[in-house]
Amino acid sequence: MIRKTTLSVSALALLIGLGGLPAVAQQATTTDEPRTEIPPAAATEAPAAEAETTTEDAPAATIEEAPAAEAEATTEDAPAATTEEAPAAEAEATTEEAPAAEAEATTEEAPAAEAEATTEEAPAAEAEATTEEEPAADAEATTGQETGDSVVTAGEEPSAEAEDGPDAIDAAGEEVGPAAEENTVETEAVAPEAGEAAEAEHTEIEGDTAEEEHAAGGHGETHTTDVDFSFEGPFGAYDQFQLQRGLQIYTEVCSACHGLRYVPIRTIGDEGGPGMPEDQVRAYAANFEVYDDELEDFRPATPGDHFPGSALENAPDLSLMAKARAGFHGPYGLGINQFVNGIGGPEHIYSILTGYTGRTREQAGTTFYENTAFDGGWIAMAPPLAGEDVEFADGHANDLSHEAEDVAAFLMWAAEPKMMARKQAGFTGVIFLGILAVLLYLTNKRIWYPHKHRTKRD
Amino acid sequence: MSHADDHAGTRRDFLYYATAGAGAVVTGAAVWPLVNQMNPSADVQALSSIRVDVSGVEPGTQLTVKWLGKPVFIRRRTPEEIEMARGVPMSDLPDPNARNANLPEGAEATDPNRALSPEGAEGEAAEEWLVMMGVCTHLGCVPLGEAGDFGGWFCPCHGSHYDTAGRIRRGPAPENLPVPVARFDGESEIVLG
Amino acid sequence: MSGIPHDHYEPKTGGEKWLHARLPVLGLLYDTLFIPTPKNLNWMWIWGIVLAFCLVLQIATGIVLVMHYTPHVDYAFASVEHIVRDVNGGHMLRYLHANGASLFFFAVYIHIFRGLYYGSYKAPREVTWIVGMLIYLLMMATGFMGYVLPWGQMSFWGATVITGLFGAIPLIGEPIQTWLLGGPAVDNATLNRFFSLHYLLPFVIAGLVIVHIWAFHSTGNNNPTGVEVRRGSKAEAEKDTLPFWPYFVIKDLFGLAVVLLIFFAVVGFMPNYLGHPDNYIEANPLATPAHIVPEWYFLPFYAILRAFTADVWVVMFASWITGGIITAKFFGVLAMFGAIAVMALVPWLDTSSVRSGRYRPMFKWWFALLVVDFIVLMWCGAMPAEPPYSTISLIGATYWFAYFLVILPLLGVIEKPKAPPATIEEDFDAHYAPHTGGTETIVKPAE
Repeated sequence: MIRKTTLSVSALALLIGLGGLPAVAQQATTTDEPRTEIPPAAATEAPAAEAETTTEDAPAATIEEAPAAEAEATTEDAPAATTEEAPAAEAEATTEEAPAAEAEATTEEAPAAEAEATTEEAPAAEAEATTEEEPAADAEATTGQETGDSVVTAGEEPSAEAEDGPDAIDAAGEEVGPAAEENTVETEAVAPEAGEAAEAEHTEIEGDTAEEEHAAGGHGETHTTDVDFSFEGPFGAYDQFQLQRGLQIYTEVCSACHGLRYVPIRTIGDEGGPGMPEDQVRAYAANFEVYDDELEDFRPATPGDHFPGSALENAPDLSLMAKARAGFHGPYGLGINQFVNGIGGPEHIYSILTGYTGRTREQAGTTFYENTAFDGGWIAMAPPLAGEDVEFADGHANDLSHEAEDVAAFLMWAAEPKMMARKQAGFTGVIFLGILAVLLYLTNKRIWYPHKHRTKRD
Repeated sequence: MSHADDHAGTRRDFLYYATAGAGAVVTGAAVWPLVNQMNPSADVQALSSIRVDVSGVEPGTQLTVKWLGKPVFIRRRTPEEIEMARGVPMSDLPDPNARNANLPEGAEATDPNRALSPEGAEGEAAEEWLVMMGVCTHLGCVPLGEAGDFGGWFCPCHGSHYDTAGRIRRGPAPENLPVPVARFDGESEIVLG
Repeated sequence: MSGIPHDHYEPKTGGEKWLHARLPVLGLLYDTLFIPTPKNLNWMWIWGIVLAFCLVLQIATGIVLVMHYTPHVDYAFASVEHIVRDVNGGHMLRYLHANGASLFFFAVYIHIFRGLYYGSYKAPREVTWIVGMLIYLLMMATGFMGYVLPWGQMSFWGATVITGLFGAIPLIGEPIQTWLLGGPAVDNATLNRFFSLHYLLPFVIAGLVIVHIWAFHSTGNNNPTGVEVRRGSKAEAEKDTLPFWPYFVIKDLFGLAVVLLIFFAVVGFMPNYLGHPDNYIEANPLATPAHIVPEWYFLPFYAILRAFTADVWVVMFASWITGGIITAKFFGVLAMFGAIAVMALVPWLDTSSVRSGRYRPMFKWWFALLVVDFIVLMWCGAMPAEPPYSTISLIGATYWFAYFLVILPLLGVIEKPKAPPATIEEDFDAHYAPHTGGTETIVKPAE
């Protein structure tokens, strides 16, 4: 259970050219998972001007009641957008005096101050925070702005931000509706009391343009984190150990609901795949039950059988998920992003797994979770990974980001098991045809030579 | 190059041969996948080897499993059956060949050559298990177990009698029941294929 | 075969004479292979070979894919996965076939636009052009039905939408649609008949390709100048032409090798780039994808289909004058097929006395605009049907029709073409004369 008190300063930035839009106040709330709590803390409305200087002023102003320091951090780049350019922007900071504040898991475990930031522009974001009362501080800044597609996560622990995400529930959504939220520039920071300013240089781009506000509820833009997978590029190959870790995550977490019905179990022993030893493949297969038409009964699966289908009706099968989703689009329908970055299926999966903001809403009896990577913004799947969900035998990092990467890589393999063979065939084909083309070119020149030079010789 | 001489001519020929050769290689490489795709696919190959748990098979009982679309008899023989099979002189066998895919071609049809022994088994235990295709070598019927004049198998179609080692003794069948590629993995699991 | 004077096959050995008297197949091969070909053909003339290769590629890979594919709604999707995962080399065969369709259409579009620029459709090559258009229509039908076979979401909904076009025909539309589908909706019957026809049509195409080649071998190839080969005597003709083998075979094969090199890079490294992710989701008749987008090669005509909405005055006028029989939907269908029909009719719409666009200063610009228009329409077809894309589509569609129905007929009257060279030989020598140096770099033989 991650418990944390966050001070979320959310500033609604009105974009240039969007004059006339009313400023919408946002509240930052502190929650205790899994319940959504409206904090007892008072919400303080901070004028826009203050938001600019929040890093130093705000904490002092707002922290009075909070033992766990919470500081607003606005990015160095962002303030211009959030405040100067948007005079109407209001930042509201809420602080809470919560005993739970001290119990933030990450902070306790990490004595060193950790800062986490996501940004569109600069990969390295470090928020430095020192604390007087707490040994650790976790500073996190997320700033939404318009039109961001990719987010580079940086910091010592890339996952920290995502871990924290679910805890932050912005009550503003309930007040102004999702459309307004999309235009939200959100800055969250946890900084030590009386500590140095937490600098958050990075912005996570999530918002939409003002136009989309008119299309009420249309959460058009999703953002996809571009992960540098080992299998990208013409010579990229699957990382066998990563696939094994991904298989473990799938087995221990995903498979509770999601199936892999097109994937034969034997293929987890394939070269170029997870490459499990034969006896382990057999033992693994025996974990599943399959229906045998001949026996007219269930029996333990053998390597020759396929993985079972989804256990839940509304949980899609994951066999081809990494090819059935596109993480990258555009720009303007030209397909350039996909040409450069790939189609982005595994990146989409990674972004879904790490894209939970922690907000929820009820609709027709179903709980939806806000997810920055999901089309529409609200996903019915509860956050499946929180970090440290599995223990890897090789002691590999099991924070959320690494887990998400591993399982995304595994699902890419599940969807495209012959990728390496294909690339090799493609490469061979290109080389052979290149040689043939050169020879044909020379031959062509040679046979035409007498005719193209006839007049010279005559 | 009006003064192109024989030397150039040789070079020209070489270029033409190289081009034709490269073209032939590329064409061949393109045709091969079209041929190779008709070979057994991975899912079919995966079924070419199956594992059978024989821990529940008591002496004097047998298990019939389907492998490659055909029945395979796995029998755990009683000491009497083994004794009976051992006692048959080679001269009484219409087919003296062991027909055992695990042995070299032409091995004699002695009882140890017909049986499948678990690793490290000796004496009677080494000849306890009999694994063979349950397809009569005459016209492909499935013989009945514990039947016939020799206490082994009897094919109801045309009256072929097999003994307790699955060897043909009387009737129209020309050969002993074939022993497929098989091995023990541990004490209670047989791998077919 | 050709009207151009040239050497004919003479059987030499006894066996050849025996066969020739009974079946002159060797003579046919000889005439085809050594046909006099204008020697000034440029690199835009390689696409015929590329297309012939595509047809062979698609038939060859298609036949082997059929050995593993199951045309049934319950198994089609899984059988494609079986091909990709289990069949030896199946993943390559599948991707070659899927991307081969893209190469096929890419090549055919360049081939068509080459014909439009150099006036290859003009007399006496109208039949070649018409047969080519028939091949193109069959290709579209084959490509469309082939896309249904994997039974993904786009397969299903693409089939639903496109067969729905036939439902727009007044009065008889719905019976036709039902007849096409074999039921009220796309289902197993549809999949089976599409599979059957997808297998059949390529062979019809192959037959038409033979007719296509036969037709232009009868008239002789067009060439970049649009000037006909001199046919007064063999000696004269030989100044304008070179035999197809080896000169053009090697040249075309070089072009083919380069094209295939790029093709293989696409298949090997980004085989799903031209596909749609939704087609990796099994067809679900209960859930429509957010955006139904046809394959890229249908996009220009899809844009034209969607361009004519009920608020366009032409549509309102057509609806009013026919008493409401022509609805916006039907008008869109008419426009889409009309866009191809006007292209097929271009031999009779182009009034110019000069064949090749090379010597038509005004035409060049209008033609360039047509190419841009085609690309813009393709882009619009992929975008949602909302402003500004719908407006752009409408403008693009309008230009498409204006080009064929207004601009081409008028240009022939207004334009003052430049004088083409008198002979092909003149054009060729102008490129490769000793002092002008030629436009192409000449590689010296290695010494």
